Amino acid sequence: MRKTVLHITGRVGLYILLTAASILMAFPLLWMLSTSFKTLQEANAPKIIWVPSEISLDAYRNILTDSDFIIAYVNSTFYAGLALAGTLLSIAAVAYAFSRVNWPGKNIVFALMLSTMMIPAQALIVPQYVFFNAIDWIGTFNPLIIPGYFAGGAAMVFLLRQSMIQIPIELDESAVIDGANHIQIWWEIIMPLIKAPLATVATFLFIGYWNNLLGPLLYAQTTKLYTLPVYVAQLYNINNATQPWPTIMAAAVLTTVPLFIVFFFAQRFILESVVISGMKG
Amino acid sequence: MHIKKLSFILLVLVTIFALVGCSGATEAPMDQGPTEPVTLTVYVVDYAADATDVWLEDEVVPAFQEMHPDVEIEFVWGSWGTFSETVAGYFAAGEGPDIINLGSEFNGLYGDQLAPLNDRLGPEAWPEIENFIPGTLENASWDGELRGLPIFSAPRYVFCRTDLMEAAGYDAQPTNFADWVKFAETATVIDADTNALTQQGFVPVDAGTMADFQWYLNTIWSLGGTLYKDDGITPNFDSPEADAAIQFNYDLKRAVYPDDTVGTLPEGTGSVIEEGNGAVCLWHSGWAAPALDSEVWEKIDIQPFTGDLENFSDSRPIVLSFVDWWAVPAYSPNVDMAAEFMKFVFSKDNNHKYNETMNLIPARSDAHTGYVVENPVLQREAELAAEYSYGFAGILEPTKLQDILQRELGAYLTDQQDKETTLKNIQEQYTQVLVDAGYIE
Amino acid sequence: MKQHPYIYTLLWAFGTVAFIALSSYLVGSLARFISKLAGQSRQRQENTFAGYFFASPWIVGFLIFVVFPMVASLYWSFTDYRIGTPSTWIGLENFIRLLAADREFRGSLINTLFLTLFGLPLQIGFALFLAVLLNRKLRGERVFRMTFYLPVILGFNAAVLLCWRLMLNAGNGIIDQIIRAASRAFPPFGWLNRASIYVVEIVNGFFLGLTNGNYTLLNNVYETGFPAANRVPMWIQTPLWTKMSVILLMVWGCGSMMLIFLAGLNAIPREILEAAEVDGANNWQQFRKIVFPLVTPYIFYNLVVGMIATLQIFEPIYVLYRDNQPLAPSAYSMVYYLYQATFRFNEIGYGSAISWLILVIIAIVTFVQFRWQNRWVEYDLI
Repeated sequence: MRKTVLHITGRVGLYILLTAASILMAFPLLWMLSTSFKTLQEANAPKIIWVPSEISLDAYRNILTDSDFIIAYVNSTFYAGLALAGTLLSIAAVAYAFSRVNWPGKNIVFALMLSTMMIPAQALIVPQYVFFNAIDWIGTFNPLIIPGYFAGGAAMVFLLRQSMIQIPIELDESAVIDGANHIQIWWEIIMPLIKAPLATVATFLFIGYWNNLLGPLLYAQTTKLYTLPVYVAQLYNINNATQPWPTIMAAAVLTTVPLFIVFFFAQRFILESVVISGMKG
Repeated sequence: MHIKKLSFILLVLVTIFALVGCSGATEAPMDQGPTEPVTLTVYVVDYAADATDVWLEDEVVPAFQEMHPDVEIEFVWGSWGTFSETVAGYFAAGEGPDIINLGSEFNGLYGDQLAPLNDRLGPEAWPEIENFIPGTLENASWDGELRGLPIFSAPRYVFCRTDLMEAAGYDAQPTNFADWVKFAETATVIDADTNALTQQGFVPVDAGTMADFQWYLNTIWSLGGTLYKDDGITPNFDSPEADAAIQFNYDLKRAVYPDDTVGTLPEGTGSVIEEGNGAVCLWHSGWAAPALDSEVWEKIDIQPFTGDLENFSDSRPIVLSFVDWWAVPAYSPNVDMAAEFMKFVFSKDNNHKYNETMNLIPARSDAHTGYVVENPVLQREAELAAEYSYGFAGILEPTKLQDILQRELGAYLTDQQDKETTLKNIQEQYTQVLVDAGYIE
Repeated sequence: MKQHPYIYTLLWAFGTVAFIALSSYLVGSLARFISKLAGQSRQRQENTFAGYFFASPWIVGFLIFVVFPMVASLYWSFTDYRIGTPSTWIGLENFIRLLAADREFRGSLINTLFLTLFGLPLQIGFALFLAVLLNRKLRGERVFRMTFYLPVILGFNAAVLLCWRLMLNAGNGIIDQIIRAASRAFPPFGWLNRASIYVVEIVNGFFLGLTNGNYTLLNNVYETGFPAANRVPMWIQTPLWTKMSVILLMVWGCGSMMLIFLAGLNAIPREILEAAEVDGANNWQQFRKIVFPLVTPYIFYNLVVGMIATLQIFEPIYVLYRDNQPLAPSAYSMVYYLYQATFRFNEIGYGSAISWLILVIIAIVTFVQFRWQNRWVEYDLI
């Protein structure tokens, strides 16, 4: 009896603790949402206004009538989508080579690929910038998209390879007897079996592309090519007499909505695969 | 299930891109005329979205094309947020727009990579150049050559709230350093409950750190000091003016913030000197001042910064003048046509209209009509600009100097290092920069 | 064509796919030819072709986008290449200037060290705390887990970082307002707050002293004594706090680490804990004596992965301090400084030297990681 009471109070305490932690972790997002519905006066009020007394849609009206924001949204969608399609396909192909085929040099190439994971992306930006400049790619989406088509992201290849390697090899063997070649095996047998890991990789890639700030900052030369992070970052300008906080936060809310949606649908895979691969999302 | 949803979303996305791409194709005119027309590309900072850009695209270009039917004008709209990266890219590539919108500080950075324009826009080729405020042309010149044309003059003034000054016992702005420090201390109010400012006696650009390289350079120049010794290249941060100026920057900050535990003014709505926002005096340009239709202007006194005549006999009132300007990069194959277009955009009427979209003071003094003289604030600003303008120009390696000054001022004003070290660091590092850049042997 | 950016890039994308297909075929054929010359079996030849065919998108991309730029940047690091001017060979001068004379780079190194020394343990500690809370097989555990992981997904978006900037304002920012209200309503919290402020300022004062070679600031903190009752953290307002804001963001984004700890906690056999409970061990004793030793390998792992991530930190500093130049040097990371040197001052040669130095530092850390990983694997076998 005493034990159950202890047990129950322990449970309740745990829930309180977890809820508190959740509020803490989600607080910036809630504050973002709340601020986006405030007027400028409320956003800068000297006293705390948790929730605006009257929901103001001015900020959303401002941002949605700004053609640059709409352009940035379309740009981000185009960029993330096109980059994602090519990257995903090439990663799946390369993962196939590292998991289902035995070829001389495989281990060396695989080790080489893993070692690129420790090269910080920023260490390559300078020479890459000069290279893209030389081939006249600055001021286009190419530098943001095309490199991904070459199986960009060793961690993602690794993750897919781990999934592919678990599929029984007998499947391939019987397909070979039926006269299938490697491309058929890859596309018709293996790919349908790794839909879940593919979805995970797709989600990670999407998040990475959607959040990318440095790339578009360097390569998008005009406001017409700005993606959302660049657009939102430049809304805050220290030279402004007032920062348009509600507008900035409305832009932030609209920017993060796709991330929420993707995360919501893919959370099961993500939460499990982070552990498999042991890497950062 | 999840996969299906995801792949469905993916499919939808891909379709959208395809559609967006295609519609872009049908909308845009793809045909090129039989004669090869000149296309001028112009990189413009979009100061006032849906005003400046609309005016340039819908009025200026068609009017210009009436005179030059075979010229296409294409605008690239930029913003200061990504300016450095973008423009560095153009010059690195040796390829890009034929006209670039620059700020004051860039004449030292890109000056030698801009086309010299004396024989196209100089007084002999284009007499109208005489109408520009002289200080503004200084900003658009490098190495004795005109490199472009200034759009506007945006000087830094001292704006003070007369009502708050009176409440603190002052009926006029102080005119020397010691009085300014005393004033800032008297006019500042710290709330004991929150340990944060509720009224700030003086705001030099940045209300928080009160460290700002433009403000520092302004104080040096107001004392009659110079950045370079008589040879024009050796840095002069070991001069008495540089010393007194930095000490004044420090004292002024400590007059407002006795120590760095005091919180800043709450972020208000509108300019810091707007009603209820807490600042008494502001040194800044019209950008940071209240909107022109604000009622608070009736209680605002605008003055130049006077220096410190008690201790430095060369002191003089100045308004530090910044200009934004259009320049033609040396790589452009269309320098002649670019110069023609600039003459058109910088004509008396167009310079006036350009500035009207942003409510700024035109760089051409003959364009000071209409809104400029009708509004008492702009009129007062234009008067001061004409009389006390001091160009923010002629600085060697400006971005580097800015960086050194911001870092060292920041360190000194937050007590991370003392004044002697700070001045020594600035002098040494800036000298090194000029050696590296080849100015000093 | 560039006037139509979407079509331009779509065409390039299709062209790239064709190029990859062709180059893959060529690489595969070449490999098969070599295999044939080596007299291998027909089956082996086919496998060689398939392997290189499928792997070559990565191989070709590696050569174009990694090897080629790295060789170029290695060369430039020995020159004074600057945008707009021709470059000359200057030998080791860049590296000497970087290591011996560049105060800003030294500052960025010390800042990065600070984040690693203080931010990382806090991040790991908080992740472990959350994981232990979650590891109780509760109803709704998944919802909590999602919430804790959310910052990892959203956190490095510039939009969300700007929201932090709004909240961290010392005047009327929400965080300091809450701290003020809580200190007033609940005095022990006020004492805790003031004590934390004292500790933070002393430690930061010391590290800033290291950077500046001058301890005035530390001395000021010491002379002011225990913080007054109306003190709040000065997050993005003074150099004593700039790095703490970055740490706050690091701790907030601890979701990945938490998931790895959860995996580690799941691997602990239930029987051991149950046996301990029967022996009368309380929660804390269980944690200290059983759980903690068994998750140390995961702590090591997170430490090393986190270290590499910390060495590369960029976005939070860019968004929080980009336009606050007087304070920025107190928060610069190495990578931020690299960005600054290259794209603000256009110094490609010097920037390349910084890139290579960062690369070497990360290589050293990774080497340490391998040593730790060996220990980790052994631990796991027990």
